[in-house]
Amino acid sequence: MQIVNDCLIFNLNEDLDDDNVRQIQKEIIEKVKGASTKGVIIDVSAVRVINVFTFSILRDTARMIYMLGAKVVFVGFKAGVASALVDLDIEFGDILTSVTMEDGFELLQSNVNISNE
Amino acid sequence: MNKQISGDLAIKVLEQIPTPVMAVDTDLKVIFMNAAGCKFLGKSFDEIKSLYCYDLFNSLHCRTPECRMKKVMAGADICTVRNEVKINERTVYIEYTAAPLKDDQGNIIGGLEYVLDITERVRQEQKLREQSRTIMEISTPAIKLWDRIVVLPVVGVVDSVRAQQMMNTMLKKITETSSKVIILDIQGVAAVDTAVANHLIKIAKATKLMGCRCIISGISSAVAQTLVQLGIDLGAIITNSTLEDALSDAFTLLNLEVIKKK
Repeated sequence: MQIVNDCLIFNLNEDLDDDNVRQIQKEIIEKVKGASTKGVIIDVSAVRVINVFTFSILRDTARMIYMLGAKVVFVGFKAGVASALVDLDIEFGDILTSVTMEDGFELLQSNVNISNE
Repeated sequence: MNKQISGDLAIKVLEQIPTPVMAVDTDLKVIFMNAAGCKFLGKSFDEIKSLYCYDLFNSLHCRTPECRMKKVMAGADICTVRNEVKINERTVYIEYTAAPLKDDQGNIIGGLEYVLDITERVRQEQKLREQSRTIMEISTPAIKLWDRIVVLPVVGVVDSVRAQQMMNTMLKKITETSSKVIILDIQGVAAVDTAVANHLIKIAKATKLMGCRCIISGISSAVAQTLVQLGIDLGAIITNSTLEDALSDAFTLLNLEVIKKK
């Protein structure tokens, strides 16, 4: 985990599977709770395979972070992952996504500003 | 009736058939090879006599359970299959037919096989495959229209294969150019039914997951009518009638403004 511009950045490893995803969720939530940050970026650009279960956990994580008062952006879903998830007919809900880290920051900034006003 | 042909004539016919014909015994040792076969191998019959056929041909099937010669000798049906042989480091594509060789009593005493050189055919097929791939690629071009704006014009019929291809091209292009807005121009699509609409919705969802906004442009009045009549909800996808409007929407999304020079 890194902290840049008051944002927490989590890099997910390539080997995201059913067993370790819950552990990762727990770690992320703990860190977010402790840091009292307004923005979280979860970098998924290294993850090659995401199945229905892992995706639902990630989505739930986003909702939990939201309840803790922070915004979360997923950065860099791989093309193959995106098309597979669409083929699996998964409901994406209202998660925020961006292609690059820079866009992710921009998205967080704009969202945080709106919530401050 | 074959018996009426004299042995000499039969041998002449076999020798002069312009394709390799070979016979082996049950140990796969060559017992006959016609002139075309010897020419194919580049050796005289005396050189190859009693050699094992797998040493001569070195094909993909040789020494494997795939060998049709062994299969027919074990009682399988006569069959024709494709294969690749290596002769003097040169790969030749062939199609061979294997059949059991029987004596007068009907006992299997070996196998016989005739070979067709299909190198030319295989080459044509490869060319055709390449061409169809090229057509696939040029049929789904993704054009970078502006910094972070990509447009994908769709012309013709959208079926599931094409839709998949479109999705792949788009997602790849999004990663390459880190685009923020992608415009799907469906002006050239002949008809939009539920299947096509579903493909479009899928593509839009996938692009959203990547973190990119999808605008569908070129929706004609007829298409708008059908979509509404079919009860299809395009949801949060931005739609426009012209590419021009879509581009202006894209500029708005990117906080860009077009200003006339004074």
